[in-house]
Amino acid sequence: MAYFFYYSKQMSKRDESLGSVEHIVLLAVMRLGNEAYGITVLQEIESIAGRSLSIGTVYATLWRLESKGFVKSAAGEPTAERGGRAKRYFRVTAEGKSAVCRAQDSILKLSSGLTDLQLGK
Amino acid sequence: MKNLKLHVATWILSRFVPARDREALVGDLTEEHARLTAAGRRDAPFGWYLRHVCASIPPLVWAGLARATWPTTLAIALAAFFLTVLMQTFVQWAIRSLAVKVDGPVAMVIFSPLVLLIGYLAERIRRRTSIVFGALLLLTIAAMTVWDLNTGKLHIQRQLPAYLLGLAVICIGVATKRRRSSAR
Repeated sequence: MAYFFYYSKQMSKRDESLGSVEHIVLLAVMRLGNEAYGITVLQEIESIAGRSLSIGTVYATLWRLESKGFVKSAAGEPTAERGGRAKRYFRVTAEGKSAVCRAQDSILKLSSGLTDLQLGK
Repeated sequence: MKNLKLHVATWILSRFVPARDREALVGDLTEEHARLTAAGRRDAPFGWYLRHVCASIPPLVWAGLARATWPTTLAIALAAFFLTVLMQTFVQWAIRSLAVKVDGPVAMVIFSPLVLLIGYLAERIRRRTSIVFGALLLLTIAAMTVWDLNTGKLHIQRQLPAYLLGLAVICIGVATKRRRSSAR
């Protein structure tokens, strides 16, 4: 019975790891600083990482990051070119920054010592 | 015509976006569409818009399902309900194999702690599950009562304890919810 409750508690715990798309989106939000909103995040990923994502994927990832506490959002100002619709700006929290550091650190540790042959270069 | 297509595409997409972010997401698409149009590309803006609308629906649907708590709650409540049916069948089979004559209310006394335990465990796995589970039990008993009324053979002495059991399972959920809110 104790094991049963242990696993049900573990399952309901907040997942603090980063998926690959979450990692990229979080880095893009960090790079953009105060100018991070849906379309700029998408453009940053396309231009820097060369990955083509849909706007829906970007938003779904941002919602997931927000639920994990890695980003915070705030409504911005409406503009004419957006048909009078307001923007939603995202910024990375301290937890988000440490999650990126942890993910980068584990990638560096795992890839260190690998030869070009092993990396397929 | 193109504006109408744009409106239809936007309307379809906005069905999959939560109200809080609808304005921002549609605004982002409109902003980029306006930028591409100003850049002088004739068909590219609409193609870009449509491609993003179509590609956005699957991740938005998935995100909506992941955020919604009710499908998981319902799934656990249904699992608890089927476990109850299984338990009831097992208890009845065990009583019959003992060749003991046990009437409805006595069988209910044996069966009730099992149902209450299942309700409690379901509540521990996920909040409000026992309320849904209790409601499922009440609905089943109500359907049985209606069936009995139609056939003219009402077994109220058997069904009344089942109604009380359904209400007791709901009470587990309500009591746990109150305990949680007072602990906060």
